[in-house]
Amino acid sequence: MWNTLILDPMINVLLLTYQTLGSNFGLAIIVFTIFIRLLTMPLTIKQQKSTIKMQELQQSKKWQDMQNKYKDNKQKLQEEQLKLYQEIGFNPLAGCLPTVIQFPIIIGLYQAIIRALASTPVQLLELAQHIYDMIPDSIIPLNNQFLWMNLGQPERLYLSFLPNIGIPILTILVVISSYLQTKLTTPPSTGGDGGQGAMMSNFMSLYLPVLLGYFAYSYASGLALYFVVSNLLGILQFAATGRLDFKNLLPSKKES
Amino acid sequence: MKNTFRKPHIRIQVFSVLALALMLSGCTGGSSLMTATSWPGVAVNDSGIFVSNNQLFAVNPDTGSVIWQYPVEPDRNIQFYAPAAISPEGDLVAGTYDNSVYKLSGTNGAVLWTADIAEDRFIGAAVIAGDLVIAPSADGVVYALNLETGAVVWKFTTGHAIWSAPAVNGERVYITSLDHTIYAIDLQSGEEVWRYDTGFSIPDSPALYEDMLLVGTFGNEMVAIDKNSGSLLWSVETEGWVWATPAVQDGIAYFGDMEGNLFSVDLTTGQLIEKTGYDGAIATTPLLTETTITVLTDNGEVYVRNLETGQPIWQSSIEGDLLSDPVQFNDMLLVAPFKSDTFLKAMILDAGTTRWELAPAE
Repeated sequence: MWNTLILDPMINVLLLTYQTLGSNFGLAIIVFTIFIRLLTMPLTIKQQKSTIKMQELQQSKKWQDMQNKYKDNKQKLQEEQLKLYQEIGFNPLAGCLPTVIQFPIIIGLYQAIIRALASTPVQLLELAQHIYDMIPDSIIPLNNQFLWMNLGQPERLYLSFLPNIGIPILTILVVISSYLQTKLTTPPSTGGDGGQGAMMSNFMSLYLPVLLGYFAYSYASGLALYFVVSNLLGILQFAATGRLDFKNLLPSKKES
Repeated sequence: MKNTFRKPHIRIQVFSVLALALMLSGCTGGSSLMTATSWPGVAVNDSGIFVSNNQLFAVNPDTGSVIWQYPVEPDRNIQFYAPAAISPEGDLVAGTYDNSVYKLSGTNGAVLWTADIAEDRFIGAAVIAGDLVIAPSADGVVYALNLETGAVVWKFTTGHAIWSAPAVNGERVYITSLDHTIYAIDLQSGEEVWRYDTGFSIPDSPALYEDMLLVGTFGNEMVAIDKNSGSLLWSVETEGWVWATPAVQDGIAYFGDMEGNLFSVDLTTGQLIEKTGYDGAIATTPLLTETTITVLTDNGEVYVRNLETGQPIWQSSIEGDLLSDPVQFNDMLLVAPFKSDTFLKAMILDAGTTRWELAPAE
């Protein structure tokens, strides 16, 4: 079911993209990522709108008063929050649904890229089971070379004056773009939850870039290329809503 | 923290990051830094059996017990899968999945030299030609190394990864690449003599027969090329990818395709003699004796048939995928299953009974 509905179509569209772009797998990853991002854009926008609405709600006086009034009674606070949601017709789960729907698409995208890379005989035999008849045999296996990178290997750039030190350019780009995306697209917490939201937000903005940076450093650079493109598109998408605020990159003032 | 987790947005975000971490851990097999897996490679000489299956094992042919292994414990930075090349002195030369070539003592597995030379794995086996080791890498480069020292003598670059062992004949090295091309290279200088583009990737080595080279391609064909001029002699169409090198005997080539067909072709005319269907893809070179042909299918079936009449002699089912070429050692047939509890099985070639099995140590 997973292969038939998600993975196989993605792999074959990726292979067709590769063929159309003159057997350039780096370009194919970039174009395919843009395509998937466009496809999931309505869900992303819905999720962003829900997040913004939640943010506005948390900034309202009514919400703040409620936090102060029931700060010692968490159960009552939750009941009152639910009441308020119902009053204004806001469904907090509406922001989660697009994420849940997007998740299998993102997993499928990762798997499609990794499987299409097929840089060993075992991986190629596995890939062969997913290829439609319409894909020409002449493009198999894919050429993994893109710019200075072998997309099937971890990326390092060796400069002529530093021949023994490989610089992980893509890893650096992944870390920076992940940090920027997390910071720029996550509105600063209002502190309505006693600062825990801010703590979690900071945790995410540090943990995610480190995690993705580790994967980019250790694994096939085709995946790292996807991370960079996806992060940049995420920032661009958010910028299109007109809410991009570079002040979010600055350290937030501590509340007294 | 507890209350924060009750918020659906935060909970989903954190879940997504953790799931992403797990998912990435499980699906990034394209990297050499992951635990690399491939099917085992088997090499034999007059007195010994050597199996590359992550570690390189020297196996007692009589008992199937391990004499030595290198490295002693599995090491994710030293992984052997290609069959080892065996020098006239009995030493072993093999490339690894961590981009290096090792020369080991055939007696005790001691490291004689290492050459950390490539930018990608060594998938195809190295070949020893006089005082040179010809080692092709998945970085697309053929490396010629000094057999005594491991120093690079020359390099030859192709346009894509190389997964096959070279064929050496006289002063020529013939190498196939996934860039669709077969190259003839001068053994001493590493200079290109000629090249022929088949239009499709060539995953395995060329077979040599008199003045002819035979290569199977992903273009569903077996191609015969003049080894002196590099010109096309003939080609035979198949139904699926031809993954493995053909076996050649008495003017006939025997080879399988990934659709489960075994073809026999007259090498003089290129005419198809016979096509036989099997239940499973054929990704290995058939093993020929004077009177029998052994065919392995990827779904674990071993078929031994009369070479002349095609009548079955015996058939056996083995756990795992059969993707390593079958090898004969005296009266034994050696098969090396992939994704199996055992990684080497010795069977009596005439009868199909099991003599011994080699399994990973607990």
